[in-house]
Amino acid sequence: MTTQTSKTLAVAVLALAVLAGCSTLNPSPDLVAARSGYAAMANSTNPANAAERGQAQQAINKANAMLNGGNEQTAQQLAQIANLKVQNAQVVGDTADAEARLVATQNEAISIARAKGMAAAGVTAAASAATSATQQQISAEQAAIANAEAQRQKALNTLKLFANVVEDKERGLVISIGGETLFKTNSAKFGPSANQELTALAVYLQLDPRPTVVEGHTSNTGTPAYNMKLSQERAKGVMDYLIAQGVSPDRITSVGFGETRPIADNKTKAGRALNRRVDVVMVKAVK
Amino acid sequence: MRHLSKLILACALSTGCATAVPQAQIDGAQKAIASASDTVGSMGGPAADRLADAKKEYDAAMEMAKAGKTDEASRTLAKAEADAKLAGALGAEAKTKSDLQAVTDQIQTLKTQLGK
Repeated sequence: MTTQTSKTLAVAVLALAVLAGCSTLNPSPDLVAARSGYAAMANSTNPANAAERGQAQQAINKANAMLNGGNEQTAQQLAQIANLKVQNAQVVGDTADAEARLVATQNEAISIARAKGMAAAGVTAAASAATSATQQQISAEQAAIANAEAQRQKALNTLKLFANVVEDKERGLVISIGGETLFKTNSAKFGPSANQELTALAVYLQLDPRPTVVEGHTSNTGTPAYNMKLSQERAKGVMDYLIAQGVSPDRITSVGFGETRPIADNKTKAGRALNRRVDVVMVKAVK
Repeated sequence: MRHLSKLILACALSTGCATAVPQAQIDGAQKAIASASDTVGSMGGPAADRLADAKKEYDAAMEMAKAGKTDEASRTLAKAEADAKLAGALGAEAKTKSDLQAVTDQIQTLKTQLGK
């Protein structure tokens, strides 16, 4: 055996060992369930869930590839997604089957009603129509409520891109925006990016009718009196902007707390930055 | 040489910006949650539970994106979308099965009346 051949053989053995090492990672329960669930419907020709089956297969392939690549944690997350997509394909397929049974059963009901005679069929049809109208009304009301909630959620998600939003058990919903984001340094005048953020805030407030308090807060840089005045002016500036955007003045007030309510350590630069803020508090309803 | 370093730094920063979570993925998850909310409505059970999971995961993904954890945010958004789609499918299935049960009951009543 030449030296070159020996080296090649050694490299090949090492590569096999590495591959064997990778393949020793065990698939997670989610991946096992996803593979098993997909295998059960792999030969299905049901057109109703063809797209979902394709998405499930792709998700399983991604999870398999990640597992083979040795990234167990990411593989686990992808396996969960794959398992959800397999379940989705199963449910969509089952629903299509149930819909087919529903049509067949409705046809059977019509046949039996005809057999009972036109009078009975008329009674059944009238009762059915009344039930259907009531259900439609309920569905329309539910859809309107769901749509309003979806819009509120969407506006809240936009706010979360630049504000810290917390549901406080005592105070209600607290939307906290950094002072530097909204105002020029040491001033109650808005900075260049304030318009976009305050508009998003106004949009949300119009979808959430709770009473609202705009609170101004500062760090301890400067005198307490100066900080109190600055926080009051900033809070009022935000309130006035929101009113100009259409928020009812009857439901909104402003207050400045100066440096009296810090949320972080004023000894550090980062802490002071956190303390310079405007909190918009959507007051919790009193039961 | 100093100019070259600045250029490399600028490239690195711009690459960092380019790896933000794609807006299309955020929109996809939002759309799936909104659609599932319409279908699930005031239902309880597994569909509502899945929808609640999807909403929590979406919020968590937004926090991760804000913290710069782009890959983790992207995978969490993908899971939120998958959960929302499953919630919608479960809601549609529950409604169809409920309708099927109502018509089956109606047939049973008609058959009983025919037998009289």
